[in-house]
Amino acid sequence: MNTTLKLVLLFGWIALKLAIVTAMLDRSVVQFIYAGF
Amino acid sequence: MIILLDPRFWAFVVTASILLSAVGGSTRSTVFGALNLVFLAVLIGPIPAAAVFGLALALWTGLAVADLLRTRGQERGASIVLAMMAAAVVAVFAGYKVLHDHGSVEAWMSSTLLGPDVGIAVRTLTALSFSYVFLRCVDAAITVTTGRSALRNPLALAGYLAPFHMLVAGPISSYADYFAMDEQPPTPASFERFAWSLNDISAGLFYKFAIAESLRIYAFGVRGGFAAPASLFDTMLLLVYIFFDFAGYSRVAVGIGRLCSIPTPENFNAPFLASSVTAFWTRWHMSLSAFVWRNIYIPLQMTLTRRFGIGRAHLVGVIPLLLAFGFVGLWHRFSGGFLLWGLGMGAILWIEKMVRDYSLSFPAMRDRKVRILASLLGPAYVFIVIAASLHYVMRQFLGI
Repeated sequence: MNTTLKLVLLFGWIALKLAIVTAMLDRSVVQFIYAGF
Repeated sequence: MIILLDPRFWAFVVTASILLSAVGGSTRSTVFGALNLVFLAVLIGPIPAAAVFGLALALWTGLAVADLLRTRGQERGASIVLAMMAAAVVAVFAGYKVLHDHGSVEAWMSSTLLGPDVGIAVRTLTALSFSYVFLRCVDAAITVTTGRSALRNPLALAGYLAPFHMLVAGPISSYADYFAMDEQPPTPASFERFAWSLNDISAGLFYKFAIAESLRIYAFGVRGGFAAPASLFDTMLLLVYIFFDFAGYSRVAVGIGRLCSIPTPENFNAPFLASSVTAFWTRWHMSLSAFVWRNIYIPLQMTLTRRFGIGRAHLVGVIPLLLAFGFVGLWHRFSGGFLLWGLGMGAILWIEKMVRDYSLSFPAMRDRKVRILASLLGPAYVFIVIAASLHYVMRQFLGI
């Protein structure tokens, strides 16, 4: 695997984690998910 | 407000990483110490920052004077100074916590939280428990007095005692490892270091705000908080929650430490994959285990082995284990219930050691299939033992 692809995957992974964290910090998103339980 | 959600916290992370990337050698820990005091004053207030510097000053004065007396051959004088230093550190520490938690000494003494008629000694020891800063004071004092590392100035010491990125949940860095940064050349900013730091920070935030929060919401609803565990299943859920919450904070601290080149030890290493309780404690809150191993278990084990001989090392080995885990219990909370929890944990480790040593004499135990089976069943055994011990200790803690 070349270095550029590694970096793209790493930053994609970081962005995914941060996007989920940001969504979880938004109470309205949490309320929406919780309503589905 | 949760400190990780405070924008000023992240502004400090960026500031520290930029300023420290240009500093190397012996001034590094001093520069971080000065920056850190400013950060603490802004983040949590000038009084806590002053208390941290007061602690560092008391520690530095005591250790420096004791060292001076020792070089002049005045061992007795050095011991008296060290005892006075310990009293000063305890006074500054307990004084700050009393005023912070209770508002006044009268309110602290009349508080019935610990039960009625509790003496000042127990109240003071309770104020010292569950403190990372106090353990760092102990580690610094032991490391310097045993000559394993040199005494640093009060500013650098203040940076070691309460680094802003380890405020919430540690880890407890060792004095010697922390000040190893003074022997390193400047670590200029690099894209690779930035990327891996960001990976640690985002993973920690994910543990804390996505996984731990989801567990809390699943168990208690959006606005609920973890309450007294009614059943063992509740405690198992609480154990997994504690892991993701605590490991999340620790991983963020490791990431910030990497970004700013401040030595910050790992605190967790997949503890639920451990196949024995002994292995579990080398993977869970690793920096506390390392502290206890370094400062209590190893010195005691060596002293006892020298006293009773290597032949009886197995039998006398139970004493350092009980004392080390008794300390771990009392550190979590100065109470009989937690002491019993710690002693029980020490006893389990000793039994595991005896069983392991005994089973090695059977060739069948070294069979590959037996080892695979043990590694599969081990984590389930560990999880049940740890959850049951947490269930006991949580009910003690909450007075159920």
